[in-house]
Amino acid sequence: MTSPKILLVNLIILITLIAFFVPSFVKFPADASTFIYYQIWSAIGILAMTAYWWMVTHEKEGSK
Amino acid sequence: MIPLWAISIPIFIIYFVIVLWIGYWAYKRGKRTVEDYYIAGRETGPLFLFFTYVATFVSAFGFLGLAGMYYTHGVGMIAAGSGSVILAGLLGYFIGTRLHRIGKKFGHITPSDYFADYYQSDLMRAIYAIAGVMFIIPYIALQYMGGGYLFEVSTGGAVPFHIGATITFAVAAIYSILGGLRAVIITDFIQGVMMYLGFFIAFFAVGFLAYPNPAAGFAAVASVKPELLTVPGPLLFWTPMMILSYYLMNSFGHGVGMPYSWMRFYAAKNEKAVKTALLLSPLFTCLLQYMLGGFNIIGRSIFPDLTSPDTLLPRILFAFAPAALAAFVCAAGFAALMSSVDSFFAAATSLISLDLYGKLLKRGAKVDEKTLVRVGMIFIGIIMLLGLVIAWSRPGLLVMLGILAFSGGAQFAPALIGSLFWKRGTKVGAILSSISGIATMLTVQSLMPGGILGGFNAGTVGFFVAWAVYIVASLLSKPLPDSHIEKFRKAAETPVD
Repeated sequence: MTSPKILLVNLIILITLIAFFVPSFVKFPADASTFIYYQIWSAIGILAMTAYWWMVTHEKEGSK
Repeated sequence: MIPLWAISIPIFIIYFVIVLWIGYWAYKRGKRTVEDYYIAGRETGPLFLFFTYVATFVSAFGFLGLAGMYYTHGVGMIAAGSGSVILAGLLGYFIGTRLHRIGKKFGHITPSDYFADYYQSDLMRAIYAIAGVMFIIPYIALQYMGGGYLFEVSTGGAVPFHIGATITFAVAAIYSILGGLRAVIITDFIQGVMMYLGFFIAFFAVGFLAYPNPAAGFAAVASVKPELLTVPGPLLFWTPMMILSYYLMNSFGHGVGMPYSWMRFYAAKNEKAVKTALLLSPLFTCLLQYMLGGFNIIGRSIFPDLTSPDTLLPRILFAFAPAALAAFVCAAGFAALMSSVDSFFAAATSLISLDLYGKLLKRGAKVDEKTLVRVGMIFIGIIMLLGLVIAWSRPGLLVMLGILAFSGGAQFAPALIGSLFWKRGTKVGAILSSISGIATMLTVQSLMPGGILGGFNAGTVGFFVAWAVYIVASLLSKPLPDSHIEKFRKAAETPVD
């Protein structure tokens, strides 16, 4: 049985992957906005992956 | 005034001497067994596996090719780049951990070993080995081109493109042939650190030396080419379908399906190393996208009319950063491409010597391990020469060549994922899906303008076809024996370390 914490982290990663498509559908101004938007989501993705790594290497329930 | 080459060349020589020495050291230390030469004796720990995975992932394609993409198509490349590396890490974790377990239990060394073993088919072994080599060679050529450009720009033309590409070839050839994957992994560690430092310096050189701050740089881009700052970009390239194409090809192809990534799962000492390398890989690859995107988009406002956008980065550096610093960053560029090309050699030669020569050509005959290693060494030389010949002809934008190359690996995704997660997948399904995926990809690339069909790139169209063929052909053909499938399932789900 996968733990709720792992499911949550996987959900955040999935949302991050979808979030990268948003500027394709919502018009951003022609300045640094899109760049900053992508960086925020990149940071969220990196943090979620790092948390996932911590769970599967340091917690027994996630190591299977 | 000191000429540019007098600053750049000594720095490059120091770097080359270091990597050559590592190759020699690994040669002296190596045991000359197949496992030792091709997968570093299955002894690579988490830190080294992390660096060899990410350093191989970021090649000349990342250092120079992506610069061209940002320059031409703008900020949408960050979505494609960052999203795809996160997906690659996640996918690699799920698949890589299982392949590591299976590989250790059954003694697999190459991806062809896995396919031949699971699907009980030497034809599947041959298809993967031939396709793997076929798609790696252009990618090797791409790295030489990167080396040629770096030499040309960073020496002010004193070392022309062809000579630069040849020197890159010679250095990478010597240390890869001598040291095998062990030398590759150690040099990748050093090169990964160098590369990261180099990108960091480049980002700040452009953001704070060319302009007072990055915001001023973006304002300058907005006045020159505002479309670069929005999606889909000036040439309407970054459609949602194209971003999805990059997601799929970069993760299924470059991150997992190509032999140089796949064999890292076998080289790992334990599962923790695989998990660390894959799940933490975005720490390296995603942050690189941030820095790359920043300095290359801003770079368009500095050099608005470059005919060869792949040379943007070294041009910016030598224009704004101190020459020694710029030369160091270019040496980091060599690190980026060398750390990839060495892995490509190792992967391609293992497919030729172990699979095509050892298992198929010499079928039934006993070939000793030293012979297999020697055959591998000879073929490294041949493959590298082929790559050099292609590089001399300078085909198109680096990134396009790279994408087509690693898209080849993605055509095996149905056969791979089916073998791990779908019991009904069959030998016929695997063979037909791989062939039809590759055939579709090459056809779309040759016949459609820009290699795009319905908004998707050629590799992605092939990928969709491969999946459809795998499912239909598997359902229509004889399933693998239940006991055989269970043996692999059990191996995949049972931790071995």
